[in-house]
Amino acid sequence: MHIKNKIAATFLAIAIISILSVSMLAFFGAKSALLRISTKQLEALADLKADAIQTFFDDLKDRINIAQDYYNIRVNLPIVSRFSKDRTNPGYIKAKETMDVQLRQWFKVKKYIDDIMLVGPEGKVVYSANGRHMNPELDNVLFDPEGTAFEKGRKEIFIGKIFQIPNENHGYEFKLLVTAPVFDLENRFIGVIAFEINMGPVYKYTQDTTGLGKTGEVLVVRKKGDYALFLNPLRHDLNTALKRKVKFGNKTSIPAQEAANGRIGSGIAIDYRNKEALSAWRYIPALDWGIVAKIDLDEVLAPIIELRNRMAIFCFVIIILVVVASLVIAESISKPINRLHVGTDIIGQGNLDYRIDIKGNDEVSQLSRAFNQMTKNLKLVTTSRDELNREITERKEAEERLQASEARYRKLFEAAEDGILILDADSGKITDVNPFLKELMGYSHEELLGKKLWELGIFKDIANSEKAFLELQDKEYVRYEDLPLQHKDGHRLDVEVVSNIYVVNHVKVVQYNIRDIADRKKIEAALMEIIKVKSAFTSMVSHELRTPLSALKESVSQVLEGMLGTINEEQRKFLGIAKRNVDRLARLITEVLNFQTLETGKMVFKMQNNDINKVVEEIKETMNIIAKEKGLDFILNLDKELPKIKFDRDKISQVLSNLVDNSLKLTEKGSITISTTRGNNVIQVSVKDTGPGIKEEDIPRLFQQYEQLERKTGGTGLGLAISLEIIRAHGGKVWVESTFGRGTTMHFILPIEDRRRRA
Amino acid sequence: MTNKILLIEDESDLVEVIKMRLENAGYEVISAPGGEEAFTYLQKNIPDLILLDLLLPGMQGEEICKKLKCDNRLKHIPVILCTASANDIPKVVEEVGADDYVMKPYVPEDLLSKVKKFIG
Repeated sequence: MHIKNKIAATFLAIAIISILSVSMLAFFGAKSALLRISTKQLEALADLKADAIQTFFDDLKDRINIAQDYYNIRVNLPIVSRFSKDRTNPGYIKAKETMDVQLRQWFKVKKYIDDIMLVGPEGKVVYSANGRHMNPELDNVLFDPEGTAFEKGRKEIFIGKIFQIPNENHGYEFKLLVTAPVFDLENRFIGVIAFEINMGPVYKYTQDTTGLGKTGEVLVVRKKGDYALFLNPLRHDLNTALKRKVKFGNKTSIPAQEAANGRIGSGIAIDYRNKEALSAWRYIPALDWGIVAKIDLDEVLAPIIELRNRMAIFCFVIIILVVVASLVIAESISKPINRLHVGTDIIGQGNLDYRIDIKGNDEVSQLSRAFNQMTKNLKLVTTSRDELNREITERKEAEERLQASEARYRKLFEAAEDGILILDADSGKITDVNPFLKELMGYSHEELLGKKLWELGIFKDIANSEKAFLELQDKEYVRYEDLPLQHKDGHRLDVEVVSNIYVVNHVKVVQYNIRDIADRKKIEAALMEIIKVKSAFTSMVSHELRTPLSALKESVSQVLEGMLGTINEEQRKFLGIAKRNVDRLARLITEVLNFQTLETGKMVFKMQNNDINKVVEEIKETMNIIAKEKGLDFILNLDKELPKIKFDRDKISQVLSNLVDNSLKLTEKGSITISTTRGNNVIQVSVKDTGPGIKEEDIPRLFQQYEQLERKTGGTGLGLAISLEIIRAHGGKVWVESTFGRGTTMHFILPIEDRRRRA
Repeated sequence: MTNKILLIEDESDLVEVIKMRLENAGYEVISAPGGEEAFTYLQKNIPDLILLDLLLPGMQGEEICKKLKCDNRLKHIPVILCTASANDIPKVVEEVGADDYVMKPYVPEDLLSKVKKFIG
């Protein structure tokens, strides 16, 4: 598993576990706390309501207690009882009015007291304080669902059961009776006082859902046989009072059952609507009522559900963040590590120039940086080690070379066919001399060593050699091509001397190389003689050849011209052949002779102001016949503005004739073009043909003497060499441009201003 | 039947005069200015003797001779080399397998006698 994934997985696991645990703890903690608080609130509410109801009825008891002791009632009840059949009796009326005044004030104070009735000892209602109740109530027994109100009321204060009667608005009203015994002044039982209580305010109070949210309600129950009877209208069912009941042991409405059975408690239970509700139930002993305050569990838990949902979103976001963060962190760790890894691999393979790419300044980057530094140092160490090794090797090799060179030098020194003399440069004393020189000069080793050069008398002229030595000290290099030395026995030696000064082990030394040039001098002399003879011979031969040739040429010409009589066509043809070849021979001999004079520097140039264009035109005139015979065009392309310049007219004419002749010989079809142009202080003449051209590799050989590129052309092969010499003598230049197979252009230039090498 | 001589020579003046000399002696002379033309002729014709100039443009005389002497159809034809150069000609003759040689400039009798030696 990659470190990246490990880190990411670990982070994620830790984050998820902790977030989930914290969330669960928080959720369940909050839930139980909420339930606890809600239960407490419900209990408090139930207590409050129970207390209120208790207080309400306690108050009623107090009031009826007060009322039963009223003097007016104690006195007047027997009167109204006595005159119950005769209500017009002034005694009755008086008693009634007296009581009315007092009792009717209660209606004003306590609106829920609908009526205050007095019941005679026989159990019949004999007085009603509420005038509207006179007819229905009077003379009747007390209306009470269980019919026990009078009997119970005889003995003590009694709170009856709730009952339902139709009201004036075609609806129902819920009422109950509170009864209490009344005694006369002698404490004899004289009847019962009954308060008819309207349950409206109580119900209103119980139905008040302040503090019970949207679903909470308070219900009041009492036990009736095997059932718990609902006494008040409910929030979700207004018609429930005295109608809804639940059998004990039923799965629903357990709090109601419990409360009806006189128990108190709280918890979650299924209510009459089959919904889970948080409930608190209380018992009111004075009334034998149970009271249940309850609220739907859904509502109680709504905040916690909201909390749960929010927490789920929160957890989800946190987990996403953790995943992203862990991936980023893991990446930030693993990436540089990877780079480091790749780097170590590369460096491990020997590439010490590799550097790891570093971003940031964390620990891994620091490690990479340290690694780079290490590589750098390693390279330095390796390099310096390599250098050291190389230096050692080099030094060894140098030493070996030095030794070898010394040995070689020694060998050379000993075996040299030249004399070698080594002097100390400052003192001029001889420090070494090789065998050849000793033999050449006829001295022994001892005679030479330690002496100064000019003390020895080796050199014929001592003063001269001292001067030479001083010159050498100054210039560090002196050469004498031909110096006379004297052998020990006195005979003269011709030598070439080369001397150098150089430094050996911080000491300046002079080395003289002395070569015996006696043989060379002999050969040179012989060679000079040969050249002289050759030159004379060539000259002689050419001249000697010309004489018979002139005779031959002249005779053939005369015969051909018909001076000796008519000749037929066949004869003319063969004489033509003869004349042509005689002319050719004459030209060849002239060339050889020309070259000879040129070579020996004897050629004379007649430099005069001439027009090069005129020379070119003359050449065309002479050569055009040959061009026409071969079917070639002869084209001139002349710059008419050219100035007159100094040149030897005949010689330049010869050059041009030579170039054109070559082109004519080689070109089979197309044209010959001569052009003249002005260049930078020069006049350029070009002879262009459409002949076979010259191979690039042959061009350098073109101007060599006796060189014939195409054997076919005939001639001595001296033509171009002679032309070259002539142009050079004019201070000009000749060159060639050629494309093999396409033609050749020969160019030469002549300077306009006089700056010739030799004139 | 007249004997046929193939003359391989590039100098037209020389061709002219040699031709005259040999035709006067009763031979039929066919001339070719170079090796290429000669071999074109030899594809369909077999001469009785070949006179070959050594100094030719294009294919050199030595080369032409070697080629002739390597060809089973042609190697029986006698070849006489003509040359202006005196440089060790007998050696060249041997090397290229020629049958004889004459020096330029020709002594007319010499040329004729050499030709007669091979074809009567």
